[in-house]
Amino acid sequence: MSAIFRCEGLGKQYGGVVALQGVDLELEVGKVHGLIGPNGAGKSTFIDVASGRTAGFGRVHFQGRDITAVAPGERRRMGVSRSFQRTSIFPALTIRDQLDLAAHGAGGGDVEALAAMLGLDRVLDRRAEEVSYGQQRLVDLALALVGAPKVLLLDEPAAGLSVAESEVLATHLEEISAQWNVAVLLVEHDMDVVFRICHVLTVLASGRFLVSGPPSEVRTDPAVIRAYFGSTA
Amino acid sequence: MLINALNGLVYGSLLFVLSAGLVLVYGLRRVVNFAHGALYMLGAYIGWSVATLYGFAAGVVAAGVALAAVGVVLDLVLFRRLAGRQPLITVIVTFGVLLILEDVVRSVWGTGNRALDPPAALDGVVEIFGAPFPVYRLFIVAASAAMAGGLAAWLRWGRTGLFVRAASHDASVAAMCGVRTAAIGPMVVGLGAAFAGLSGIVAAPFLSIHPSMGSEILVLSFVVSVIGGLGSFAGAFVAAMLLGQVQSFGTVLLPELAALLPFLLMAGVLIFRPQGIAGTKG
Repeated sequence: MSAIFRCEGLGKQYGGVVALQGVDLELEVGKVHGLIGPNGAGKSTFIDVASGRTAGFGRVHFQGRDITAVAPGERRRMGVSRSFQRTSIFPALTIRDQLDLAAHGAGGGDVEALAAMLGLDRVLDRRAEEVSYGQQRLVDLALALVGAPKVLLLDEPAAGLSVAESEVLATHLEEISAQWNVAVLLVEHDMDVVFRICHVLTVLASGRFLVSGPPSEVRTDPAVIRAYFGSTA
Repeated sequence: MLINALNGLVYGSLLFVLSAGLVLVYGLRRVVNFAHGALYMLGAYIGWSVATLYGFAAGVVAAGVALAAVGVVLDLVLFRRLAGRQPLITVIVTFGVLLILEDVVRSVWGTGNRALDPPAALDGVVEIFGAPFPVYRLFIVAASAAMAGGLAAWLRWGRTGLFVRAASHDASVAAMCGVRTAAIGPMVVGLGAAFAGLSGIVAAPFLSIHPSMGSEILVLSFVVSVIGGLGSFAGAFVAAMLLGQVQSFGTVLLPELAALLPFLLMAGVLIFRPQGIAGTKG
C-alpha cells in the first residue's frame, strides 16, 4: 500500500544544537507507526516539524502533494491532525466548546458522537480543568480526532495515565486506526501501548534515524538496546 | 450616601469599559498597551468634533468606528510584532504611541479644554430617594452595562468569541486547530480600541476633554487590571466597581487621601494576592 503521508529528510536545528537530522518516515492508511527513542531523541521535534508547528528542514507530502509550505491550520482542514504533549490546552473552555472549535477548524465533525465514543459525553459541558486527568487526555485526543482526519500525529497521548487508563486509550487507538482508515504516527514512551498497537516502529536517537521495522524485530535490535540502555548486555 | 454609591457606580462603569479594552488586547497579544488611554482621549476628541456638527449619537458612532480602525492599524503595524517580546519593549513602544497621539491631538484640537453637553434627552435630573441625580450619569451606567454585556455575550456564546478565547489561551495551538489567528488579532485590538474610544465620548459630557485625559485615566485602568488580575474580565469588573466606590467615598470621607486610595488598594491586593482577584498564578 502506498504512503498517504511522507516525510523526507526532516531536520531542525536550535542555534548550534541539532535536534533532528535527515529523518525519513512514511505513514500508511490503517496502520499505526510508532516513533520511539530515549529522551532527547527528537520525537516531539519530528511531530512539530511534520505538522508545520515548527519550521525546519526537509519536505512533507500528503496524498502525493507537497504540503511543506502549507500553514498548520490549512493542514488541519486538509486532514492532517495532531495532538500535543501537554494536556488541557484550553483549561477554561468547556469540552463542548473545544470540540466545536476543532470541528470548525477541521471543516465539520460530529462532536456528540465522538464524545460518546470516547466516554466524554457526560462531561461535555464541563470545563477541561474540572475533569480528571485521564479525561483531559481523552479531550486532547478528541481534539485531534474531530472531523475524522486522514493522518493523526499523536505526541505521547498516554503520558501520565494509569495502566488501566492506558489500556482504554490503546483500545480506542486500535479501533480508530482499524475503522477510520486513518494513518497514525504514535510518539509514546509507554512500551506496553507501543508494542500492543503499532504495526511498524521507527527508532530515533540523538535526533537521527536509528532503525525501522516490525515491533518484534525492533525490540531485539542491538542498536536499539544500546540506544536505550547504553549496552547490548 | 446613596448618591455617593451611584457616583461610584458611574465611575466604576466607565473604568470597566475602558479596562475591558485593555484586558482584551492583553489577553490575546500579551501586550500591556500604554497607548490605551490615548485611544480613549482620541475617541473623546473625534466624538466631540462629530457631535458638535451632527449630534451626540453621530459622535458616538464616529468615535467607535474611527477608533476601531485605529486599533486595526495598530495591531497590523505594531502589536503583531510586539507579541512575545519582552514587556519592557512593549511598554516603551506603546508609551511612545501614547506620546505621539497626544501630540497629534494638541496639533489638531489645541491644548485647551473642551466641553460637550449631554444630548437634550439626557440633559436633566431625576430624583432618587429625594436626591437629584443627573440622567446622563444613569445613561453612562446603562451604556456601560450594554457594552460590557454585549462583549460578555459575544465572548461566551459567539463563534468568533470562542475563537478569541481559544487564541487568548494559546494562539499557536488555536491556529493548529484551524482558527485563523491572523484575522483574530486585528479584530480584537480593533474592538479593544473601539471600547476605549466609546468610553472617551461617553465620558466627555461627564468629565472635561483635554489632551492629558488619557494619561490620567490610564493609570486607574491599569490599577483595575492589576487588582482584577491581568487578562480577566470578571476580575476587572469587580475591581472597577470597587475602585469606583473607593474614589467616590474617598473624595467625600477622606479628601486628603482620595488620590492615594486606589494605589493603597492595589498595594494591598498585590501583597495578599499578587495574581489579582481573578488572576491565576504563574
